[in-house]
Amino acid sequence: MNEMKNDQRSLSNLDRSKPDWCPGCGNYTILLALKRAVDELGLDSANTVVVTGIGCGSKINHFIRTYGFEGLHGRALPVATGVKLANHKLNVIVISGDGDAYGIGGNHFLHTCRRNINLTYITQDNSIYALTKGQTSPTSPQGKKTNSTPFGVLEEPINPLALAITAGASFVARASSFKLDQMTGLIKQAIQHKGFSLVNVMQYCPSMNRENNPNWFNENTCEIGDHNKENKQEALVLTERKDKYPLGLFYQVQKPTYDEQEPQIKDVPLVDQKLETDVSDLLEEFN
Amino acid sequence: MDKFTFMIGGPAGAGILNTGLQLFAKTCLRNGLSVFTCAEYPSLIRGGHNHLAVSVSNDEIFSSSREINLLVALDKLTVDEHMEDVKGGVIYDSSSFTVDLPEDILSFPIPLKEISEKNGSVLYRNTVAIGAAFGLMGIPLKEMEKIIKDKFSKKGDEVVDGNIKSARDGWDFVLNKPFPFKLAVGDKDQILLNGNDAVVLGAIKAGCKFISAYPMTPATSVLTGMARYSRAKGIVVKHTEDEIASINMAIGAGFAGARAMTCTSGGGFALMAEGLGLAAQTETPVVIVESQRPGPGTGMATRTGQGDLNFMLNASTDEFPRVVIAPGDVKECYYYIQQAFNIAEKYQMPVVLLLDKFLSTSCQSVVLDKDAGIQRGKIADKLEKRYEITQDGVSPRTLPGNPNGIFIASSYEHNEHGVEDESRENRIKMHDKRYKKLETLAEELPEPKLFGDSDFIVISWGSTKGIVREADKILKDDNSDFTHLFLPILSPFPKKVFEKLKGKKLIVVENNKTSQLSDLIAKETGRVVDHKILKYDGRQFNPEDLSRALREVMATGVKEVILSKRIMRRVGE
Repeated sequence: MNEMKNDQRSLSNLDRSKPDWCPGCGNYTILLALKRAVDELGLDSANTVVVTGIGCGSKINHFIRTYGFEGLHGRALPVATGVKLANHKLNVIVISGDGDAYGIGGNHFLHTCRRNINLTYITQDNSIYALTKGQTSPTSPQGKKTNSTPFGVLEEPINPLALAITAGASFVARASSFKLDQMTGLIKQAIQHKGFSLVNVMQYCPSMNRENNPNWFNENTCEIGDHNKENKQEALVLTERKDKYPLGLFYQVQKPTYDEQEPQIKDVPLVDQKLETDVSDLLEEFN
Repeated sequence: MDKFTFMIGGPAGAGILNTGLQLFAKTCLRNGLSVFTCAEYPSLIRGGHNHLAVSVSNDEIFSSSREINLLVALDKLTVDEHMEDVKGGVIYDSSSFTVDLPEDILSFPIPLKEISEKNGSVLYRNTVAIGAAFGLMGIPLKEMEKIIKDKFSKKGDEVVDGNIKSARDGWDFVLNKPFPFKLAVGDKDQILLNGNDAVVLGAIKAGCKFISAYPMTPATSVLTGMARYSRAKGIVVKHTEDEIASINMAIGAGFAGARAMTCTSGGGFALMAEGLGLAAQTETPVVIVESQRPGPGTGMATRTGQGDLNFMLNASTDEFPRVVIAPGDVKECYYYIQQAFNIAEKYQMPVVLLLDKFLSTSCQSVVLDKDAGIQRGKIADKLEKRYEITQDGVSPRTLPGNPNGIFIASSYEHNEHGVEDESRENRIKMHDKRYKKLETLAEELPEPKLFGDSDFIVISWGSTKGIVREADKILKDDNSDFTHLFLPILSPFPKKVFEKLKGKKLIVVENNKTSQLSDLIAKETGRVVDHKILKYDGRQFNPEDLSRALREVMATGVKEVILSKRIMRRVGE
């Protein structure tokens, strides 16, 4: 973590407090990748909002010097959508754990994908509820024993990447918390992408999910390799690969974002528009 | 005469509500009269029984009435349902059914179906009947014909001509038939709109730029009204996946600096309860319009009630201050939604504007001449501590984009910097700070007015205001006066006014079973209410029955009266 302490650039001042995650937690590299990404892209800290829900990793916006909103469990995306529609000039980055994103917030996830709101969604996917000490999550594999499923999970895990692609997200990628450079690059690409971008980060949890340890990550992940990133079918097939989890960019297409389809905010963000509004012309239909 | 009530009834899909409103109520409005409309309809698209009552007067008018002076029945069910309230005449479609009317009722059988079909379509039945109604009342058709032209010109000349011909045929059909209720054309210049329309206009006036909501009767037309004007007035309208998203999006927009709102009814508000706490904890302005309908569960979607007061005041995890405003009429909807935005921003807390189906959907003729202006409170150019402890409890805030006030808004307990802090000292400090804002606001608000100087104080909130005022008119004629105390703001509660009421008899009137306002008065002031007049059958009070109940309470001292239609039940009997 030396690299982080030495980093003195604008967005990297740890001026609020220090992270209190477990030693070895994947959140440290996710935080580092995020900071590197925003610094390398030269984002203005005052024009950036990091929105989170509730979970171990949702405290991440306390450790980066931007505007932050740490909301309710599962509700980061609606808050972020409200922020973006009110002021679409802001860079909006949303960060959630897998329970937050795909469990309690699953409905918001689907609808935010199909809106293609221009924001970046980084999910910290460790396949476990860690802050509440080890219960099954929507991405836990079938059969996994957790303290809410002591005899094994009966459901199949969801496939967040396939969900995102079919629901209408325009940028879908998977990273690993052990591959800092690749993760940084994908987050940078996601932020630069115009539209809803998902970076699902497979994350190591050293306290609550030791089965998916560094060796497991080594053996079960691989590079995605070359494919046509605009081809939805190819991307979907890759998300369904069973032997290993490919890392990299699965799918990227250009299409109109929600915010740019609203002529009301084509030029001036809502927050910069005059409040005093004349309604006298609207009264005609009432007489 | 000072007040005339017209009613048209028939199956859903027959154009009762819309045509009745546009053709009858607006013609009266354009003839310079005061108008109050009240619609009843079941939750379905075709069939059932819909009816629209329109009261008109040359004086001010505060609510609809039970008594009907002219009933237009498109089906027999309408006669069966409403005959007992008719004092005047009945127009019915003699080409579709026959009825035996009592001798004291003036009967106007008109072959509505036959005449309308002759003019092009059975859909003009309403128009024939309304033309006949104006013929009986002595109101000229000129304005009605103009409205027909405006309303139907898109559908082509044939439809316009067919409707005008139908109205004239109706008028001619009743020519020279005796009818005792005549109305002189008036000179008022008003507009006709319902509570939800007024909320929409007021919100736009106040600079509301963002609404995120999920449709739920009877609040839906706030969402659709904002959507209709969104392009013209620069508003972003988001129909969300659910009410949880609605409130969280509005909070996000409020955090970013837009004036933001959501709207719903009780069921949707239940989903918003956690978000309400989020707004309170992060001190983010948000306005929630809640229009009540009877519950619990799905309840009665298209009926009215005032059963959500406790819920608005208490929905929370732990405890936190919120503002609850319940406008009493259409004009107040327009004014108080503007105030709601001011209070939400000045005090950085959630504000609930509480309506009900009766207020949301009843149209009233008004002049919108009272605006609240725009006050945004403490928005700073620069700050060190976002949640700084101040004397009035309100900390200056910055908006994202400002480089001199970067902060984090956290739903965790936090210190003055916004950083999580669970120490005992900090918890007490911040909890007190949030409550301090409500105390400051309470001092700023005007004291509710007392209308009258009687020993009996009738206390009401929300949409019952107009009905109490109409009941007051009836009782004034009888010399049984009361004083009306209307409470538009329920949180913070206006305690002080109760100091003036020592030795007076308190009568609470409200649309619920348990008299939630009485409990609130007892909790806030220690006063036990003397009498309660309650109604919880899903319908609003009417002035006739309410005045009867008030007369009885004041004469006999009966503790509690429950009303439903004409029936009065005295509790303890």
